[in-house]
Amino acid sequence: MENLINTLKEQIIDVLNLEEITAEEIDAAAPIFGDNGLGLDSIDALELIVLLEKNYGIRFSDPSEAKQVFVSIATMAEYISKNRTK
Amino acid sequence: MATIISHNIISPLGLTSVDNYNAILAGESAIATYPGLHKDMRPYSASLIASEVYDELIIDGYSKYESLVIQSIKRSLDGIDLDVSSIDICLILSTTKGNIEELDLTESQNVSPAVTAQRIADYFGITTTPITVCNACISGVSAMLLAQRLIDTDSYKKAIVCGCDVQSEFIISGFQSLNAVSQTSCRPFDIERIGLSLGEGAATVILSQNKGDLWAIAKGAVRNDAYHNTTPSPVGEGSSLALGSLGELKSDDIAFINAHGTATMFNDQMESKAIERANLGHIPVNALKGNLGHTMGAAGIIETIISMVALDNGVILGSKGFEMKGVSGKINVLPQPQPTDKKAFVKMISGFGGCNGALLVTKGQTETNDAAAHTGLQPIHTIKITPNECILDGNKIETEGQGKALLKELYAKFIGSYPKFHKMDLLCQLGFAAIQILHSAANGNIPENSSVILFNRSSSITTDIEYLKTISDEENYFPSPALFVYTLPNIVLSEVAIKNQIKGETAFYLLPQKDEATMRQIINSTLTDNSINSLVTGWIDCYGEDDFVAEISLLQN
Repeated sequence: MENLINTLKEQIIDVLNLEEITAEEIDAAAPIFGDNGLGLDSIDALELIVLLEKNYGIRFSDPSEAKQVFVSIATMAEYISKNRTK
Repeated sequence: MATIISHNIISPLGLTSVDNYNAILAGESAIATYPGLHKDMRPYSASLIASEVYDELIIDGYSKYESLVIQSIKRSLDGIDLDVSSIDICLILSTTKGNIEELDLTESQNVSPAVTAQRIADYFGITTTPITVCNACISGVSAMLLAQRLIDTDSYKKAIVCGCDVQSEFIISGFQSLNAVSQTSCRPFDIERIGLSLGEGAATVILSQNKGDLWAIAKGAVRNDAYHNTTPSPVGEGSSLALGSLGELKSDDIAFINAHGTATMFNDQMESKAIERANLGHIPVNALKGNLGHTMGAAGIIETIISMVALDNGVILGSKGFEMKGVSGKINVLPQPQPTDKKAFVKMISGFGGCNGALLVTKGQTETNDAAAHTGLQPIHTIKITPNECILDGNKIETEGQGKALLKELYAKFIGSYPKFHKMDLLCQLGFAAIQILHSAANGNIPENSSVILFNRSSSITTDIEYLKTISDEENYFPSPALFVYTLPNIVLSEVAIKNQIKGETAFYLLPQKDEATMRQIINSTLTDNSINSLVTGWIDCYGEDDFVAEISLLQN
């Protein structure tokens, strides 16, 4: 799980162009969205859906399901480990 | 005052304005559900022109897009005596993505709508520089407003304004990646609305100076939300400001407000708040997307023409797809047509890039506009950025990097602590860096009612290609929502508006070449909006990391 969390952090930094933050600086348990999060918006959320699909073969039947998954890096990693198809 | 002397609509519902109106009055819709264009894409709803109709409309040597534009302009020229080669006539094209269907990964230079507009002008023998309005979904309203202003400021005596977009995998996949498209026919303002239906079509209005008792664009305004690139302000900030700029509107005079009504959750909710905030909740509201879908660059013009024809027939049209109100603003959405004898309406529209437009359209009113552009604005700071250097007010700023690295260096030096910069595409980074340097040169004095008007030739070509790559590999088909947003060149305007809280008019125009005289005409015409006393304007063109230029000035009193 630790490995997956680190990989995921790097992938998110890359896909969302978070140039001013390093993987070490991201707290896996902290909220991704909201004022104290990573400064992400609704378009970033849609890009995260693409990331999950592209890298882990996870498709949400309803994109609003993603809300419960995109709480923190840890919740994302947990969901990926249970549902990944690649 | 400029009046509309002729008009035409080409859509799946008909090839004339009257055919379209009659179909809509009869409750017809051209929207159907189509299977996804890739095995992983969901079905989508759209109003599309049938291939057998295209077979009749296509002109040899011209694309689908160009043919629709030419056919619509031809039909609107029928029966009016117009020497299109006159230097008193201009062509204004309104589009979001023009010929984008023709883009392939090897040949990229010729799909810019600026090039397309020149081809259309050449087809008709129009001799003046064609102007393309690329203001996302409000382009049609922006284009008519520009035409009216150019005529009122005596730059031209007549203007041919054509709005057009055709649907293609590029646009459909992009809107699907944004989760904005409904699989079934859209339902504007309804409690069960789940997204928009795409649409295609072309519409033309010809405006002329002083032609008497005809329909006219009496007033208009464009305002920015300064909120988000794609999500509208939840309180309807820019939209209510635009409505407020139309002056006092009385329900005794105004038959209805024709809303944008895309049937996305955010747009319709925002419009309801904007109408309520502008104290216009007592005027009936209708929306036409349930008949024709969202025709993008054509929408503002199609819906204005339909509204004019409806009032000529004494009718306020209903809103197909609307049953139960699903927005919180206090507004009165009409489900069914009703009679009226009023001869005025308001057209509302909003789009990506935070832009919002409103027009007051009237018939037979003698009120003339105060068209005097105020002349007191002078350039106080000017910046030029190329891949090799940055020059502010004639002085070279010391830099080391080249291309993208140069922009990053300017960011670190003048901006900093704005991580969103790294998410922007090259065009936006260029415009953003240039304008933020002007902002610091002016000690932050770019007030809320400033206007930002930018021009280029390349549109958003570098990001168009990047987005196309995400849908070019069958086995690796992942349309990128973030890239798709930046395929609208006017996104640079919202990036700047958000950062500096600029809520005045924002507009992006494409020209076939950098033509200072035309740019000056457009800027002067914009200044007829008397609330503008600070203006950021210039040329910003971008073909790649080693080929870009921004030359932008800040003008103030």
